Amino acid sequence: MRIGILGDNKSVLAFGALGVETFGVSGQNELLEAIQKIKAMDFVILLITEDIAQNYEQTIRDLFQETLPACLVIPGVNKDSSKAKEGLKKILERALGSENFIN
Amino acid sequence: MENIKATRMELLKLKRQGKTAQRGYKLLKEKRDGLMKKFMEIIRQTKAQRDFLEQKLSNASKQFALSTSNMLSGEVEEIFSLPSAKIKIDVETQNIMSVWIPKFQYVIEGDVKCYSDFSSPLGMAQSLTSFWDALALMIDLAGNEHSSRLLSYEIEKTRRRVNALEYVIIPEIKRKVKFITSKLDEQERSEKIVRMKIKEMIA
Repeated sequence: MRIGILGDNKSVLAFGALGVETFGVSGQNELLEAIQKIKAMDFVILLITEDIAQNYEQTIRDLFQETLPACLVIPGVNKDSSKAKEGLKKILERALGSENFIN
Repeated sequence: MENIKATRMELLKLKRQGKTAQRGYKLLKEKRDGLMKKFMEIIRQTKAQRDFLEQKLSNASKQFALSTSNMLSGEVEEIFSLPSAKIKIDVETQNIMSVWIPKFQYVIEGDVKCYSDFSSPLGMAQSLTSFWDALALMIDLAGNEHSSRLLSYEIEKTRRRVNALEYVIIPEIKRKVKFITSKLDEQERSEKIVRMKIKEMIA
């Protein structure tokens, strides 16, 4: 069982020291390759940096719908987009029909 | 209404369908409530964890990027080429109202320090420590957020089904049943009148 991180090359570097397997990608093709590798191995947690989650939303969408690996969007090196927070908002919206149900 | 055959057979069929729809509606509604309960439990926790993590990580990763900015990425990779940290993680899947959600159990071993201070930039150690602290939180959050995401998909689906049953299918069946019943009654009355008339003529 492994933990992996998928992100741009700069953001994933630090995670190498934590015992997390890193997948640095910089383009659509590399991303697809990485996803294929991830699916082939027994990853249980996959961290995804905000940039990737934002720029390649379509590509990684089906990763989010499977039980494993559990995906988590984390802030990366680049300027913070609020994508990670947005994800949580979307979850709330989908479940409740409105996001302002709990604060 | 035009294409309904007003027969007793059709009526029986519709009544049976109505009963099934009613039952399905009740069950699905219960499922939705159950899912919602679990979802609320998880989401509260997730939200707090998320806020905390966000703060911690964005600072740490900026710091890390700054401190390694004058190095090639190959060099940084080399520093971390033999990480001593290891995460042993086990996963169980739990079934909540037909949704499989993951539950993690993990042991973090070793230490983040796997390099020499002489070969690494000064600020790096500090940012790595924040990453290291956040690791356990990240694993927990990954499990929680992913679970809530999976639950939310199921809740959405169930809610749609409940609404479709409540506002479309059940009223439709009721309307059809009413139509057929009134038509059958009408037929019966007209037959009765015919019989009465015939009796009158014979007598």
